[in-house]
Parts: sequence; structure tokens; C-alpha cells
Amino acid sequence: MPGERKAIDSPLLLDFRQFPVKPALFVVQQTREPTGIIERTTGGWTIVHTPWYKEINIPSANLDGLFVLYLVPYTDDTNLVLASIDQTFEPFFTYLSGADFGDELTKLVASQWPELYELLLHSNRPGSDHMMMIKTFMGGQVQWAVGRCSPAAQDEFLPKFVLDIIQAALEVFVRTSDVVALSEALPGLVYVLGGPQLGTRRLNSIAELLSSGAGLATGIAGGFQGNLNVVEAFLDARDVAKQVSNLVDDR
Amino acid sequence: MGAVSFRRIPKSLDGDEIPFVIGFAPDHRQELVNNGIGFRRGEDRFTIEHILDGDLRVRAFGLTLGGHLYVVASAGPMLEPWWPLLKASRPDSTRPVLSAAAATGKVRMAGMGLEIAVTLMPFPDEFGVLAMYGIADDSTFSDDNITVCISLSLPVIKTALLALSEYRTLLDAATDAEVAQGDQVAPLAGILEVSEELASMVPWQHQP
Repeated sequence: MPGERKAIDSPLLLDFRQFPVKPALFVVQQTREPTGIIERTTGGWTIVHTPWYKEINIPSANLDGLFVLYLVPYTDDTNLVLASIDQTFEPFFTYLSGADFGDELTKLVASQWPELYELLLHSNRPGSDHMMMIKTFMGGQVQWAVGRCSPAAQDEFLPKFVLDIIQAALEVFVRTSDVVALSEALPGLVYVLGGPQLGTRRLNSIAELLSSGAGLATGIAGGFQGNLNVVEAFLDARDVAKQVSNLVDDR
Repeated sequence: MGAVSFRRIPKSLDGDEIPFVIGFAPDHRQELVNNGIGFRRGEDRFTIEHILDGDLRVRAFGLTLGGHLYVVASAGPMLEPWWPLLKASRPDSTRPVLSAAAATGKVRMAGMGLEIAVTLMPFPDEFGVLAMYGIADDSTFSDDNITVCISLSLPVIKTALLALSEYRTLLDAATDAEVAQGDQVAPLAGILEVSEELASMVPWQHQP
């Protein structure tokens, strides 16, 4: 039944806890000077090789920054290409999958934000070839990413494939990292969280979520601290689309 | 330094023990200490631990294998998954020791008027990446063989330490990984930082 939290509460998990890896970088970085085993492609991309994944840096002259993607082996035949939104989504997902508000909130997301609901739904169906939310444990942190499978034999991607992932990641980031944007994306959010009877626990939950959101807006995403110009450039969804489309020109 | 006799070294090692090049945890097993170097032995190996400060030591071991005697230092298992990538990549000036080892399997070290080629490569199973140098074409722990093992433990130890310090450049940033030794746990980032300092204390030099 659409909207049940059980349908979306077991997302795909990439667990790197047993490996010495650092936290995933947020999809947008102002600067990046990687070290390690580095390959520079003729198209201007930089690929940082590790035994567990490849980090792909895609410069954008229009953005005065770069996009960071990860290529992670998934099955024998497929890789996952993902764009990290860092820790921003976890507070929201905690409520979405929790017993207190999960069912109502999931229904709300399914009806008011079907794109996110689809991302979560596909994440709960192993082998899905669709775009999906992906939970990661990297560098001691719970992080989230938006990603999609690609053939393992393929080490180059069509610009649209990459751009769709970046755009989807940034849209989730923008909407869930800003309290106002989140309430606009999900009309009825406060009502669902509060419920008809505002018990103490539910009141506290609202306060926690809203304060988490407020914190996120000021820069929990790695690489964004102090770079408010970059943040502002992406807090408007229309700018997101514009910046992403500029990528096509860069290629 | 007086000769160290294999028979005088207490037999206190576990069977197939391969000590990590940096010792930081207390080890209360019986050992022979001679001129600031600690020794323990098993059936086919003996450890050479240069005692630095308290429990902090740099370590190698003499090992008989296939009828030969080698002096060996372990850089641990961390580098092993990186080896195929290192072999496939171009030499990089930020990791000269790993680049040389990945290309040729050898790292040239100079000191004490000598130049030797230390083998640095991953070994199967759980041995990890080892730095090793052949001492003798026999497998006897004669006093002379042991003395040579002790002398040449330093370039072998330094090779392992340099490999670890260059491993830092592969990680690109500190991670939250930890290294366990005995009942002690230390952050990997701290171990790698110390490895660079310890390597600088060994007078042998890498020859690019």
C-alpha cells in the first residue's frame, strides 16, 4: 500500500565501517586538492582511486567549484554512482521511518513529494535500476546519497546520467536542509508530527526536527562551512537546475 | 655489543607471530634485552625490538623460510588492498618508496657504507605487506647470522616505516580507523604520523 513506512524503512546501505575511509564529500565542493592515486581524464575530470570506490571530481567553471561523485562496486555487473548529501537527510529519515510519525509522514511524502518517495521506494528494492536514496557509513558517519546503478564495464557516463544524479541529490538536500523549504515541500508536516494531541514527546520531536533543520541550513554539509556564497547559490531550486545545465556546457 | 646467542633468547613467541613494525603496547612476555634491543624467539623466528621510550619500539624479526634466513619488518595489512592500484598507477614523487616497490618489488636503501635492495611486497593470507632482506643461504641462527640480522634490521624497519608514512598520502585525510595491539588501541592516523617521525630517526636513506 503506497505510503506505508515499512515500504521505505530499509534503504540500501553501503557500509564501509571496516575500512579506513573518510566521510563522503558533499556533492558540491568549492575547492578540492586530492592526493593519492589520481587519474586526470582528457575531459577534465579527476578520478581518485581507492580499493573500495572511485571519487570523481567534475569541475564547473560556471559554478567556481566542482561536483564530487562516487563510483562504488555494487554487484559483479554493476556499479553505483552516487552524490552525497552528507548528514542532512538523516534527521528527516529518522522521523520518516520511526514508529511515532512514520506512517503518517510517509503518506504525506508519497502524496506531496512523490519524487522523494520514489527514491526511497527504489532503495528498498535491491537490483533496482532507478535513481534511489542510499544510506552510507563512511568515516564514522551516517550519511546519505542519491545514486543509480551503471554497468560495471562502463567507466564513462553520459552527461545526462551524471546531471540527473546531481540534480536529484541537490533537490533532496535543498528541501530537507531548510525548514522553510521542507514545510513548503510537505504541507501538513507540522500537523503530522504534532498530531491532534500534542503530547510532550511529540512536541519535543517537532522541536528536534526543526532545530536539526535549522542547523543543517547553516552548514552541516561537509565542504560548505563558511562558504555561504556556494550554499546560497544552491538554496534556490531554480539555480540548481541552472548550475546543473551549465555542466553540459562544460563537458 | 656482545654476540646474542639464539639459545639465550627466551622462547616466548606464539607460533606464527608476525609483529607489526611499531610496537606501542606493553608485552609482558619474557625477553632478553641486550644493549637496548629486546629479543624473543619461537621455532623458526626471533624478534628484534629496538626499544625507544617505554613501550614504544620499532621491530623486525629474523625468519627462516625455504632454507634461507631473512630479516623482515611488517607494515601490516593496511596497504595490501592498495597494491593492485599502486602497480597500475604511474610513479609518484609523493610516494617514492611505494612507487619503487610497486614497480620493481625492491626499495634501495643506503647506510653504513652499504646499499641494499629491500623487498617490499604484499604476501598472501594475513601476512600483509612485508619488507624483507635475505641474510644467509642457510637457515641457521648462528651468532654471526643473528648479528647481521640485527644490523640490517634498521633499513628493513625504515622501509616498512616509510611505506606506512606514504600510506598517509593514499588516505588523503585522517580516518577514524584504529589499530589494536595486545589490549591497547591506537588511532591509525596517530600511528601513521609516528611512523614518519620514527623513520626519520633511522640513519639509513632511501635511494630513489
